[in-house]
Amino acid sequence: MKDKIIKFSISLLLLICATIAPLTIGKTSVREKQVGVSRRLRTTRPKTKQSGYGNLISNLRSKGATVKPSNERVSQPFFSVSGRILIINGQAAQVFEFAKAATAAAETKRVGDGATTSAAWIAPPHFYHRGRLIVLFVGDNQTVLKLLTTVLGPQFAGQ
Amino acid sequence: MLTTSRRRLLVIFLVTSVFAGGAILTSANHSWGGYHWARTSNPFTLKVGDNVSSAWDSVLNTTISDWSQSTVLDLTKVAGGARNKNCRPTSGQVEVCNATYGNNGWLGIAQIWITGGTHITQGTVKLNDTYFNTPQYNTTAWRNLVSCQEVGHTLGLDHQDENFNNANLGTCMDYTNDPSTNQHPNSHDYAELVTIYSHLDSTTTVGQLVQRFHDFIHNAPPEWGKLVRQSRNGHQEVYEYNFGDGHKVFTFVTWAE
Repeated sequence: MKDKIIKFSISLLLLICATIAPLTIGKTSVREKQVGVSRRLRTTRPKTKQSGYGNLISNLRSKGATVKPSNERVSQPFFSVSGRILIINGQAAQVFEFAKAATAAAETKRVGDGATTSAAWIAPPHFYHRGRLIVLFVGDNQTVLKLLTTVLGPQFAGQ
Repeated sequence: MLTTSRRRLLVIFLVTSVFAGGAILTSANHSWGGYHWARTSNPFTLKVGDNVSSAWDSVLNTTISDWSQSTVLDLTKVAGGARNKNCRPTSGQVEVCNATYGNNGWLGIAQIWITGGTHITQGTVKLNDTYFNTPQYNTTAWRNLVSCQEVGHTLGLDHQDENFNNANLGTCMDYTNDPSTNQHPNSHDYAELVTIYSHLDSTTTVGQLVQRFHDFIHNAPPEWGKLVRQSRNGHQEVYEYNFGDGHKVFTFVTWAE
């Protein structure tokens, strides 16, 4: 009788183990898959962020511009992000890339009519906006202005 | 052929047109979005916080002197409260700072904070030494123009002209490539200030209230105002000090035995 009870207990234990083990492994595999997905998302997000700036360079080059990205950063008190200096045909343009297009659109209101900042510029400023990008070109080089208008549309503020 | 009377009419019309055109050219209309300091009387005194280095001291003095020639306002220099490159604003006044803000395209920038749609509550002016440290801009003329222009913005003025290549208008509120004759305000700027500040507001955003409050908290009992409540044993009292414009300070006093 005692042996029977022991055998029954062992069988029951084996049965429980057999039921739980696949579930646990299954859960683990699901977790690993989730981790895999989130890792993939993490690696793909920066590429998406790059695309606005990268597309701008590609589009300018496709229009015949000589474009040199630089490591120089620039900050403006009226924008929430710092910008990158892009050399277009030897002229420096300031490129501000926002995480969301909506943020970029909202920050266009910080310059031009209704703004509460006003600057003494070294040359006429020209502000362009497209998607997640705001581009500021300070100067009057007509070739660069034409290129920016072609690629980004008409300026939304400036002179 | 025109008859004599028609010729007279034409001459009168042309003369009238010339005068009307002249009036348009000489009228001041460069308010910056209707922004202005709220105040209950004129002239009012606006404090300018001095955060600038020695290279800017005389320039800032000139700017303050220039704008104080206005009949509606006076500027007075006080110790700056900004203390750093960010040029932290101070409620009720203008802070002026200089630093190397980088190759960002501007020589100077003014920023104002608004309440109620048009009332300026505080302002800052940043002067960019990244450019003023270069031979091209390290001149009294450039410094005067930019300092004058940016402080002018904090008073509610916009540019009179934004074309860099036309003839100078003789005002610091005019964009130019040659600052020699654009270092100070002109009569149109002063006229525009009169227009902007011709009305009075029911409240004030100018820092006088802050100073009065500062003075108040450092003063003795007579400055606590009138006694409005007292406990039966006289140990607790409440005083009310009325600054006007709806601003009151209540002082709760518990007297020692």
